[in-house]
Amino acid sequence: MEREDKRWWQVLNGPQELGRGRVFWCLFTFAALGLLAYPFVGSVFALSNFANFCLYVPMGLGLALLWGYSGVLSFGQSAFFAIAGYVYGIISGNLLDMPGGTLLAAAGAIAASAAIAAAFGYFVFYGQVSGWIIPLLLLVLSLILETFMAQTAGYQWRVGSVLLGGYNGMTNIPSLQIGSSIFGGASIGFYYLVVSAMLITYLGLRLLVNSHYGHVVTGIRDDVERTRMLGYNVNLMQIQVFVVAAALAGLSGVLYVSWGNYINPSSMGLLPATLPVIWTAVGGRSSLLAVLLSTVTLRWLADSLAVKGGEYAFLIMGILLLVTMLFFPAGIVVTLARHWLQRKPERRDLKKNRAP
Amino acid sequence: MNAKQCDYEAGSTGQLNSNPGSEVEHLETDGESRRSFLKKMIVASAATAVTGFPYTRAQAAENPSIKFGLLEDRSGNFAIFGINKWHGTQLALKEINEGWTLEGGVQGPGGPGVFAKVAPKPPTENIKEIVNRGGDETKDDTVWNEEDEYLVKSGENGVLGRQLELISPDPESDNSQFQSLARRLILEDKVDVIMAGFASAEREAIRPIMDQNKMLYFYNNQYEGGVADKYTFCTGAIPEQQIVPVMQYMIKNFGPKIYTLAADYNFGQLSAAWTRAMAPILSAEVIGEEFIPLSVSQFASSISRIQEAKPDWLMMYITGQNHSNYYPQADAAGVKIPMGSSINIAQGYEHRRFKAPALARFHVTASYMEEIPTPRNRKFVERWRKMFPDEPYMAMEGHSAYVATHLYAKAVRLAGTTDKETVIKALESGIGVEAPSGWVFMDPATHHLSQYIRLASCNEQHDISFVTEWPYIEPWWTRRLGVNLVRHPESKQYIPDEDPFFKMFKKKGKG
Amino acid sequence: MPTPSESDGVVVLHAENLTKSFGGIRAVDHLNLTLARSELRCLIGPNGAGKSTLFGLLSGLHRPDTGRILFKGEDITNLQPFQRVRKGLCQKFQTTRIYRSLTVAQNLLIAGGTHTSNRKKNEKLSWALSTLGLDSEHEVSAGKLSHSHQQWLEICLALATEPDLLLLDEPTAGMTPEETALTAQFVVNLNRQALTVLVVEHDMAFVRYIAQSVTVLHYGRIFTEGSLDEIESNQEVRRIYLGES
Repeated sequence: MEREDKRWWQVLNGPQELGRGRVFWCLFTFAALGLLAYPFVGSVFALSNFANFCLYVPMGLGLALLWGYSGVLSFGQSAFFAIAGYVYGIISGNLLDMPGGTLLAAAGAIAASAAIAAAFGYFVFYGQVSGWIIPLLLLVLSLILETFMAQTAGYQWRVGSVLLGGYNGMTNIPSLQIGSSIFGGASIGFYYLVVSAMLITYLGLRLLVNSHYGHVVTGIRDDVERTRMLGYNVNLMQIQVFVVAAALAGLSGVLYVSWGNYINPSSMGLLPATLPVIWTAVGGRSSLLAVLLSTVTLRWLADSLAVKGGEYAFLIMGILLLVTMLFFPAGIVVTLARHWLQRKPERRDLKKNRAP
Repeated sequence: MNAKQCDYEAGSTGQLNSNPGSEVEHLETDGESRRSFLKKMIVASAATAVTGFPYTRAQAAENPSIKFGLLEDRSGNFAIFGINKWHGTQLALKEINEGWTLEGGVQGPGGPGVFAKVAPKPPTENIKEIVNRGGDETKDDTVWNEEDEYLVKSGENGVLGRQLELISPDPESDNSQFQSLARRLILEDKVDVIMAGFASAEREAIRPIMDQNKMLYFYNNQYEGGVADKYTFCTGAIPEQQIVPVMQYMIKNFGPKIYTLAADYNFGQLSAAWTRAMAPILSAEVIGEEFIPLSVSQFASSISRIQEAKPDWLMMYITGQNHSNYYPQADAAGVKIPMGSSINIAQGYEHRRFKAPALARFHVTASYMEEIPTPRNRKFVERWRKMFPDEPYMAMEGHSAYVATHLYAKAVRLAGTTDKETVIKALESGIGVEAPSGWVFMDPATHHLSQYIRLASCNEQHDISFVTEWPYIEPWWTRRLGVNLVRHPESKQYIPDEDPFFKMFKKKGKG
Repeated sequence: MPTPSESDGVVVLHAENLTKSFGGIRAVDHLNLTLARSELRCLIGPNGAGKSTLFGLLSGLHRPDTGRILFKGEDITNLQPFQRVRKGLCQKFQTTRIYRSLTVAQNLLIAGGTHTSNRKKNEKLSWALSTLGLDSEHEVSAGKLSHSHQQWLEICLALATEPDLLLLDEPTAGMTPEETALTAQFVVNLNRQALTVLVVEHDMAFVRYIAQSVTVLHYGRIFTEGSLDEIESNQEVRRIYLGES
């Protein structure tokens, strides 16, 4: 049953993502409305804290696209996150008196991450670097950046009037501001900004992965040569996906510095480099929804453990990772979803015709 | 705790307590006021009877606790320092809640020298002959006796009739955890004060949040100096209190040729800048400088460069687990050059953790060390180890945390309220306290603490002896830059490059 | 050289003086090949004759040491493989390379471009799928298809790129005689729809069924060309190829 007029519905419910059909979208809308209504009942702190979890979702989703759908593992997302944070701090710190300066800074920050990703991608993908070397290179990039930034303590390390700050970091970074509304870390405006960014990123990527472009990207993951031989400029597409993932990480970086007004080189260190990979692996990198859920949940878990029992935090995270690797190699959310789907075969009838 | 009692003087805390019990003690009992005495007795009994009922006690909630927020790392890289500071805070809170406080209060600039030249007594006979020959010689003597006991009764349990409640989640040595936990303490737990941070990065991560929320914030750690913030008070030692004295001593005793080995981040770089700037004034010269990245733990090339340069002594600004490997490696290579520092041993107790004689010939200027032999410190160590028998070492910053906690309690008592703006004013009023290390004074203009600095020397057996001391060093550097937070509130960290004097000395190329 | 009656003589592919050596071995040796539009040519030859290498040169996997390739009048010698596919030159490989973890529908979607853009292409593809019996297997994971169905899917993927020249490298390898016949019929039908096809095959039954013209390769050179009857009756060919097979 072709429904030519509801093409976007088909794409939205395409096979590349979990959760399809009317029931799912009802639940999704309900959840989204709940998020949007939360400020009416939640305390200022609860909003600020929750926003702190959700602002990492664009970065996580970008890695899901890059690793889950395109097959390129990256330990460099935190580097793009922090680069955007620093560039935002530099630009906005120098444009303090200019209205809209922070918006310009945000655009510049994301563009900077994208540009560096494009340059890196050019060398790596056109140079036909073997797949397994890429995550190592990105990790090395992160660590080099961290080491470099850590020694920028002196006065000579400044751009305009903004000091890079070395290991102490860059502080007093202004929050995003539109007109007279400041999107500071404890404001309702910031909460809405983060929730919007999260939902728009999710829906946008969902449309992308189910589009023809998204399917070709999956083809690149499965068999690069085959995809080449079907007439696609694979190198260019790999760079494009890499840049999108970096830009999303940059978006998370801008949201982070708007929340905390601070960034320092440890954001590019070893642990932050592995965190997005852990979120993605635990949720299930083949599904955007799974990664969204796991990112928020693991961020919440880390926060709760710090509050309640700090010394066991690392242990618990480590055990969680181990359990996931052993018993849920496809990711916890994805595995559970598949079991759920297998028990409800009639659900398949709700899915729209996807034959070309 | 069987402390020897010092007389409690109402004047020294500047505030009469409002505990109903003590009011009864102060009543007169002469004739005319017998009626008023009776009236008051009736009222007091009624009040006691009423508050005795659990129902009214629960209803009234008259004494909600003062919420004391603490963010110190108990896991992660900085755990050994954070746990030590947590213990210091817990000890101080216990003492405060049980009715003790550090002696001291609003006084003029304290810190008279312990030793001074004493003038001889004027002659009472043979006056002409004695005066003609010029009198007797002055001699060194004790002019002011530091008392053995530093704790006095505060007159109440807790502060302003309220107990202090410690709320201390674990930020896990993670800057972003510091940020979210700081927000949590401010917005959710609604604490009255926050004491937080070991590394400067941790402090800078939360200082904006403190300022945004006008939260009173104490940073209780030695660091590179320069913070000038209306809402921040620093109780750790800073370069003018540590670097300058250790250089004075080392240059005088070992010679003018200095070789600096510094960790390659803010603390190391800025401390090295201080050393470079101070050397010419002290008639010395920095003949070589090396900045070691934090991840490095092999020092073979540095050691050979040091041996080639043949300095008189080494200025050590290395930090962290990786860098502490320098000491056994240098020892194995036969390096016998004396070392001066502002950080090792006192903070990370390397002399206990490494085998002798790795830290031999090591000298550090410390604001506190467990080995300080004064009677009052012996008491402090005894009390601490009674509460924390398994403490590996009582490090410098645990003492800073302890002093800061008592200082805060005193300021609240003086202010009569926990309102942060008023407490800040109280802290700026010129408060000093008898800390276990000695008398310390909170400078109103810079929000930093003066320190009683001792130079510790570590020998071949890793025994510590204190060879000289500077009983009172003020935090003078930011004052030179014009910082006066009472008159001109601000919120920034100054670096030496902003000091025109420091600009005269450029960083040499990496060694 | 006999041209099929359907062809209008327009040259689709012209390869001249192609040489390719691997190590010291010359796999293709100053080879010239011309294909006209709507031709259906078979390429046969003993093992090591250079058939696979020639296909590799045509599709762009290898760069020739000498010579050039003209496709629809354009010099494509220096183009990347994916660029050649875009121009209309598509190869179906000897070993199947399909997206094993994706469904048939997804495989076709990737190969096919936006699926509603070209009605004619859609119809053609639908016809191809139903002829080959793949239309009932849209949701089947490609890796789970039978061997012959995988081969056919591969052909359909190539078709989805809307080629003007289709290179088929041993399309009936591993097939039963019935499947071979079906494939042959299919290829002939494709050709009748104005698609130029160049086939490499060992199975002489297949060659007999479809071929209008046959080219024999030997030691990297064209040995001879002609109709199947001419080739089969050529004693030299029998000796070098049919005798050895």
